[in-house]
Amino acid sequence: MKNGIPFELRSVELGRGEHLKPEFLKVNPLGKVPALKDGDFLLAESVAILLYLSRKYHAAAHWYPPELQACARVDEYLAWQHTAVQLPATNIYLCKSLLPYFSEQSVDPVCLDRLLGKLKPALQHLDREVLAAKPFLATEELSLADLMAFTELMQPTAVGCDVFQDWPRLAAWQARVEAALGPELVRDAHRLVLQPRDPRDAQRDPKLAQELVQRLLERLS
Amino acid sequence: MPLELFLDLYSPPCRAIYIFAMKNGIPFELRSVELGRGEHLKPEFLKVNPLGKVPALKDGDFLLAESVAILLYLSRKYHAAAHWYPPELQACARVDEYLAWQHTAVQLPATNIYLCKSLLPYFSGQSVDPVRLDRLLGKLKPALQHLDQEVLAAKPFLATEELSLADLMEFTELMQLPCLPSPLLLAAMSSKTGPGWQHGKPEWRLLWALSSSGMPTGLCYSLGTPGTPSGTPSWPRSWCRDCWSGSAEGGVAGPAPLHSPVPINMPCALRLPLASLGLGRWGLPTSEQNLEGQEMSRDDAA
Repeated sequence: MKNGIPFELRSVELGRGEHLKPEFLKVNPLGKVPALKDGDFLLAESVAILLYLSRKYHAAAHWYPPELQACARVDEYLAWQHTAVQLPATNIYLCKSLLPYFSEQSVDPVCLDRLLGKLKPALQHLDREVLAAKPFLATEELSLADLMAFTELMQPTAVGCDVFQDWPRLAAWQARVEAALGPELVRDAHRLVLQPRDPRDAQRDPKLAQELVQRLLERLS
Repeated sequence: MPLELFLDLYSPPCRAIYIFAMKNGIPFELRSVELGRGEHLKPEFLKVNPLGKVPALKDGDFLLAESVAILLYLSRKYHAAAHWYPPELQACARVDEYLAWQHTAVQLPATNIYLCKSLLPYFSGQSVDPVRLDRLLGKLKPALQHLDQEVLAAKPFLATEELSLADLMEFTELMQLPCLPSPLLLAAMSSKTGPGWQHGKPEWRLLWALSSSGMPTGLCYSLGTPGTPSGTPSWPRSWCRDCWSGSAEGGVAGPAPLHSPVPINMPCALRLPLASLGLGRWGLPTSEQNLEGQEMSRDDAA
């Protein structure tokens, strides 16, 4: 949207198990979003998709700079974040929101605490080391690193786990990124995740709910 | 200041970088960081990478962590051959796709298997927990299945029709596991799985056979130093020309090698795949001198 790239949105509602259906598995056999289809070319993995779009549509240089060392900094963040940020942040979201939604059980506070603990080292590193030295996560300007981090950290925040509360530089960074992206676009992108889910929706397909609960429990164990 | 690479060759991503730099003739100084001795937690190393992780790179004042980032940096700076990270949009995207996916799908579970089977018992003195190991092996299985049954069914390499950074990362990750024979891994290491370019080549069948036999073949076991019997899980203190020494840890006293880094010795099984990558016995890409000052040639493979 920000780069004016023309695209058609194909909504894949994980909450309705649409990622497990044959039509979607043809696009990504691993059953995961995001996925891209450009003619016959299919691509998965958000980092790969962002790089593909940057290159194909000649996005502004700040997103993925051409300079060797600046580019390396963005690569460094994009690699690190898979296990340091994305994995724990997603797990917090699953524990706090999706698992209770499907299982109709209340949130497990022990599990949630443990998962929050797994995100903390990354938040501390970003706040105390990275953002102490510069305004954005990789370079002096907004890049793909900030975009990934912003949306990842919104996930637990959107369901009531404010991951910014102990980290003032990170909170300031978040505001800076939101301003650079545009508050309206940010609001639009986060519309769904910010809405509380209706528990009755989950039980429309009890079999699916059961399967998803199993997968979630295994993932969070 | 020469390029410095801070590596512990027990670590698969470190080996990927080592192999890449050697294969591409990139001059560097190896700074050995022994995780098993906690060297990654010491102040000298934390100055290089405050997160205390290997691999790390130091290029003048420029510090860089993360194996994928380092491989891309080296590819670009030293103009590595295009097949490693192709310029074409879609081919490049395929490599990016693998490099992103592998963090959680391959690297994380494969590392955990190694930790459970090898490092934890090593430090704790306890035997391996079989239930836990089984569970961890189960977490790697979907990735192996996907690669074997979907990806490699369509092409000889993981991302494109040629060897790329994707194959290098996967290769060193799965090499960790031949040290740990188990039915699942032996199945995974069968002729159908594994780096596609080696299908049917005698060197690979030998390597897999050695793996299946339970003989330690991986870097972490059978790398010895002259004077130390092979099979002892020891590690040369440093391979860097400047700090290489004939120390009590098993190095050999003598003149420093002309070029650094020089692997002091290579296990037979590792020499075979290295040979197929065009590296000679000593892991050097061109005619070089070994420790005793004898000239080695590229053809001097096992």
